[in-house]
Amino acid sequence: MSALPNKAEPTPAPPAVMRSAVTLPAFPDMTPARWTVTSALVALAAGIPLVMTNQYALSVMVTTLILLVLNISWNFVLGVAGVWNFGQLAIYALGGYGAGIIMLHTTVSPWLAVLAGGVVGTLAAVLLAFPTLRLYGIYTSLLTFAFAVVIQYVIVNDGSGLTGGTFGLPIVKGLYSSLSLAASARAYYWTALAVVVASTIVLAAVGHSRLGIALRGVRDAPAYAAARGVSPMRYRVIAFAVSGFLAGIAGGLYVSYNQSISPSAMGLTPMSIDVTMLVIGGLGTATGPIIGTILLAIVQTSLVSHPGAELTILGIFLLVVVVFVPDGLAGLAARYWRRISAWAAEDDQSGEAAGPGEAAEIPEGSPDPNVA
Amino acid sequence: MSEPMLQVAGLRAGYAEATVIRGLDLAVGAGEVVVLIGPNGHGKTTLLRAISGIIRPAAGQVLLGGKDVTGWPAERIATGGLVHVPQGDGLFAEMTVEENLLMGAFPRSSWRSRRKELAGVYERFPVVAARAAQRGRTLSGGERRLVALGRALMRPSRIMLIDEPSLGLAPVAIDTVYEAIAELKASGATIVLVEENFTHIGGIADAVHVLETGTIVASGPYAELASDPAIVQTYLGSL
Repeated sequence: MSALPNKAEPTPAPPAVMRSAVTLPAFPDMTPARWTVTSALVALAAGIPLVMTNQYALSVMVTTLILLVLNISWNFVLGVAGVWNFGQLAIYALGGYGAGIIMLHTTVSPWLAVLAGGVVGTLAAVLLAFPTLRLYGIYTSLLTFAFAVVIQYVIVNDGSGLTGGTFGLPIVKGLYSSLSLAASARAYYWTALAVVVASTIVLAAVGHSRLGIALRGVRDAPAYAAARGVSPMRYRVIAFAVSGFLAGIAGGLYVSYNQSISPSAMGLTPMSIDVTMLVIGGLGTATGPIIGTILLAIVQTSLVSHPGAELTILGIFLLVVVVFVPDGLAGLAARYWRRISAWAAEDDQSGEAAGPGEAAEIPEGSPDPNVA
Repeated sequence: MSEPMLQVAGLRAGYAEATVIRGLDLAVGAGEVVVLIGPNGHGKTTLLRAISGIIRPAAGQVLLGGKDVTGWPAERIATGGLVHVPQGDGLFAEMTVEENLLMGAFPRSSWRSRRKELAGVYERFPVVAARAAQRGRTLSGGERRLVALGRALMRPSRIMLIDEPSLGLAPVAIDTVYEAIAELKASGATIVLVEENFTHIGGIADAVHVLETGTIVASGPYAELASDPAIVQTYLGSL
């Protein structure tokens, strides 16, 4: 065994029977320092409405946070599970319409209506998952995209008056309809922020759980995942269900905050912007959707008076990222973080031989000469 | 050893219109290491894939511990105690080494003891332990092979299929890999292993079969086949 390279020190003869257990933390990437930074950022974000007096800016932030919930849900099915699902906005819209229609026609608590939006999203996503089970790559995209087009068509051409056609639902009472405009904007901000934080933490934990490694295994190599005992079909349905629930919740928050929803919430333009946010941020990472959504929302807002230029500039942004940083800004940040911590580690233990992990560290993203 | 751990009868398998395995019979007893030798493109990998359910056999039978598993999906056969170490390792490229190993313990029956098994694999392969947090695609060929073997050890198995463990490795790395396989044999594992030639299997093979155009054309103990001039001419070349 000593023939293999990179074995820095002679290993002590391993005791043959005694084996201790390896601890597997729920968040292997999170050091205490990172938790501190993360908590500080969340606290900072939570403090914004207390000092922000500009109502327009606050409403943009609420919209962005709700969009972020949608993007986190999409990132799960697209980035973590690797299913090229382009029906996510239709699922989101169905959740929104479901919640909105309940708010409009019943007197149940709007919180339950938002939750019902999540249930509608789950059901829609599971129904969409089944026909995609034997498809892969571009064929999944085509089928799910067709689903989105059909849903939009049905909503627009609904003759029963349930959806309100092109104009959308009439004004619904949302979560905070009893509050003043300024107070309700703050309340929506904190609600959406709480959903963002909770879903990021839960999905990050899921990503490292048995479910998460199964999903990523199927994404990387379906046949080999099956040979390890993972049923690719079952786990695809689960991925759709989890992601559909969160998308439905996002739809419910959307209809509640805007007091309405119309078919313009879905469609090609919002979809291309959302997918651009995900790719720029870094597909499949926990921080990617957050970085991408906030960054592009800022770009979009500052270009709001140049409506023609907006999509062009976003397109250029996307092109640059895809060509130069294919793993997105989150991947870029992770690379620099690794490099910095490697330097720090060297400084800490200068004189000691480089640890076995660092000696042959290949920067991620660089082509690996050993790939068979 | 009344009943073979693995029994293959009249197996036919292939891809689309191309039948690769043409009526193959094979029996592997518990604790036995059976090696199939054959040139490139004669169905070694296809045979293993058909046994483990990654491809569906067109005809014939596969019995695992006496139970007919023909046509079962791969995940069910895997859960039933078959471990496949695929050609080229089949590591999950974007997952860390540790996650790759955890995939080996995926079935519910073995998931609970994953922490202990992980410690065991790290102890057996310190090189793998040193790479635990790196992604699969950043490893060297020899390291990958050890991860693939380590992953196979993450749960108790009734039989292991190992596909060309020497493929594409430097000689020193091949020695390491075969040392590990010899240890598995010593611990009583039942193994079906395929290779292109006799070079590395001397120390481990109980029985050797020669695979040609999808059927077994010669069988016998290693010593017997390795001393047959006609077979040596074809499969040993450089000896």
